[in-house]
Amino acid sequence: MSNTHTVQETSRLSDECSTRAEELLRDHQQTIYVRTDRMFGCLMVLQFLGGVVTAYIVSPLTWAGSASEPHIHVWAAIFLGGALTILPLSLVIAFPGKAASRHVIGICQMLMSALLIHLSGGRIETHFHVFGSLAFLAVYRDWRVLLSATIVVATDHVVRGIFWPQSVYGVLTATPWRSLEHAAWVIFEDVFLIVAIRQNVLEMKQVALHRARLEMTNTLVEAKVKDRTAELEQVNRDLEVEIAERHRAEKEANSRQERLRAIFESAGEGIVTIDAQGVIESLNAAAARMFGYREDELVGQNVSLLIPPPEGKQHENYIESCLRTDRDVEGKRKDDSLFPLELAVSEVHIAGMHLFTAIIRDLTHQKQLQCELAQAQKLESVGQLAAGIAHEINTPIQYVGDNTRFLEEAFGGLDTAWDGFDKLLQAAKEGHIDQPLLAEVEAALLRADIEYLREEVPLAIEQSLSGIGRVAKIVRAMKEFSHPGAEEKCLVNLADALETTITVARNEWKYVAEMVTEFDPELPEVSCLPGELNQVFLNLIVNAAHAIGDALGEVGVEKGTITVGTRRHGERAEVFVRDTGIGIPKKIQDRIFDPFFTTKEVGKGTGQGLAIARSVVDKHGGTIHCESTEGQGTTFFVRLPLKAQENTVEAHEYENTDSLR
Amino acid sequence: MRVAAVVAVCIGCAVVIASGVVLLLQYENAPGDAGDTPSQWPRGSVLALDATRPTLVVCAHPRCPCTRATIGELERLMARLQGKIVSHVLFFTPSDAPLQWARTDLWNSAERIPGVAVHSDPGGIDARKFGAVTSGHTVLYSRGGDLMFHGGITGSRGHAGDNAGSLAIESLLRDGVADRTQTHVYGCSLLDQHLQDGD
Repeated sequence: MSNTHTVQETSRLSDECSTRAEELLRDHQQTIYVRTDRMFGCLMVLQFLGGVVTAYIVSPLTWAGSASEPHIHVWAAIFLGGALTILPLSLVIAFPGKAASRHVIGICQMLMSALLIHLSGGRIETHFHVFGSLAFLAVYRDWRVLLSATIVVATDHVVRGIFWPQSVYGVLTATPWRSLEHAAWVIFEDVFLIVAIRQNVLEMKQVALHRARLEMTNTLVEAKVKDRTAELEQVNRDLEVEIAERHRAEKEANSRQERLRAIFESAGEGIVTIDAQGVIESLNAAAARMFGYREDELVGQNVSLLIPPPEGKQHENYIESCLRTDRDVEGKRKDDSLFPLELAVSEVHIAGMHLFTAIIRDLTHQKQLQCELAQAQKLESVGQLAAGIAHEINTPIQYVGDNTRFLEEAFGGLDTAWDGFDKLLQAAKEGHIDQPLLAEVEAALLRADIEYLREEVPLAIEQSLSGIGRVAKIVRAMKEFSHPGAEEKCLVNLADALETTITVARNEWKYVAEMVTEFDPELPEVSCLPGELNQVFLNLIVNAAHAIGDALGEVGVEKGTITVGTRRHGERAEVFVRDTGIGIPKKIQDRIFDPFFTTKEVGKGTGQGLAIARSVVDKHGGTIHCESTEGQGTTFFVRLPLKAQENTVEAHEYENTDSLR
Repeated sequence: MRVAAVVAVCIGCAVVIASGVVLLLQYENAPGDAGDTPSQWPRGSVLALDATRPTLVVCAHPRCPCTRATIGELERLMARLQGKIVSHVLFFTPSDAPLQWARTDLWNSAERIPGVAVHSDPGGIDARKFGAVTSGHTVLYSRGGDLMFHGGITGSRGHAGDNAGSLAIESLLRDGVADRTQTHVYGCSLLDQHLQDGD
């Protein structure tokens, strides 16, 4: 099918090529005809002028003695030559390239030859004009023109050979063979010229065929070029659009880069990029300012310059660990001073480079605020506890006061009795004890109610001492709770710490709950900051009391139970505070450790308790989480490392809550 | 319109061409006045009759274009006869004109022909003695002064080539006889207009 189509297409192209070749040949011939017509037009004019000049030179005048007049040859040159010029010239102008034009030209050219021969006085040399003219007519490459011209020449020779043979042959009588000889010479030339014309026309046909093929090839090539050009133009347009888009994107990228650079430079937090080897690639002004360096001092340095050991020496693992979460670590300034910072590391791959971007926040001020906040919260707690503690102290103080006043009164009665005894002792020394004196002493003893006092005063004293002991315990608990000045970690018995906190918070829970303790006597002491840890426990116990109070308010039943205990949990010590309160709704369990988040009514909570608790536990490298069931109660778990791991930062393990409540 | 104009031009030109050809042929073949040539060598001629060879005299107008063919034929004739005759060319010179008037290319051409003596003929007096009134008039006299031939030695006006006059002269000198002893003369008149009218 394809071959058939190809053959048909080839045949069609061949036919088109032949047709086009014929067109081209005709066009070429027509061009030659027109061009040769114009050449003969010019030649005719030149011949005309030449004839006139020749006539003027050769035979300008005809004479009669000494008189003269223009020779008839001059007039013949002008008029006859003019007519022989105008006739073909008009056809050249009016009908260039027409067959009639060139035949008339051929005839006139032969007649012009005859005229010139005549004007030259029949010079035999001038006869070469005939042969030259025939050769010139051959330029038409049309043998028919030669035929017309030859017929004219032959006719001229035949006619003149018959009637004026001497004028054409230079002899008085000429045989027909003479005419035949002359004609033969002309025909001889014609044959050569016709052969040459035929050969030339064949060559023209070949050229036309080649040109047609070339044109067809060019057409095909041009079509392909056109298609290709169209494709290229389309590609070019696409490229221009793409370039414009890229320029726009580049401009936008530059703008975005400038904005990012401005943001990068103006960011309040430090931004440092480091490579996989820990070499600092770039940093912003805030980072340099934070560490006390100039930017150029840090670029190319290892990040260990900024992060003191051990993190700085283990930056790869450290970075890997930091990738998982934000970490609070210590940074080292240029003056070797340390400061707390929060480090958030992200991993980026740019142009095949493995880079880490660290966002560094100076926590110095935040830590100060946290301390102040914790202190404020502690003061808040103390303030909240103050009334209860005052109440706790007031009760023993009241009965200590009552007992003291009882002792004061008892002492007044005894003083009167003591005076009687002094008088009785003096009388006894003097040896004259009298009855009235004895009666006065007896009366004083009765008034003093000595028997009563002997029973009650010891009781009063014992009760007062108990009350004072109670107050002393509360005061000691307060002192232990606050642990003023305990800024360094120390080993703490968690049970004691919890007892102290329970005591301090007694007034908060005793009206709503029974306190149950489940301390593990085998639990080792824990290295911690007792003041801050007590604050955590206090917050948890107070929250438990409040939760139970809320539950009681709703239900109006008997007290709830707060269970506080300790136990070992792997390598950690676990403190749990369990209540039978209202529980925590599941939807807010994720937020209870957020700062300023509270569900308590205004004035009852600041939303800082659990946030500070978490902060404190984090500081100790521990964890805090809760398990709660709404309507049944909540248990908070605080787990602290049993082994002191100072300056060890571990990932915050946030166990929570799906299984709770 | 243009075609009509061109056809009109063509017809006009064709008419002019045809007419011109006819007129030209008529002119070319129109002989001049043959004159009255004396049968004996004229007495009083400035030329002398050669006693050993026939004497040929060509009377010519030095400025006649047609006579150029006559001089050419004379040259060929002299070449063929190879000293068998004595030749003279009498060039007409107006009586009031200087001698230089006749010193034309024809004079020079005639002068270069071996065996030809060129003479100036003021007023055409001597030519008239030979009965010549048309340029190119040629006469041939025998050693005894008898007229052997008179007429032109060109076939037509200004046309070189074989002609009856030359053939007759050659025949006379070679064989003593010729098919004709007189031919037409083609050339300008040697006489002024008033002399022609007077004739």
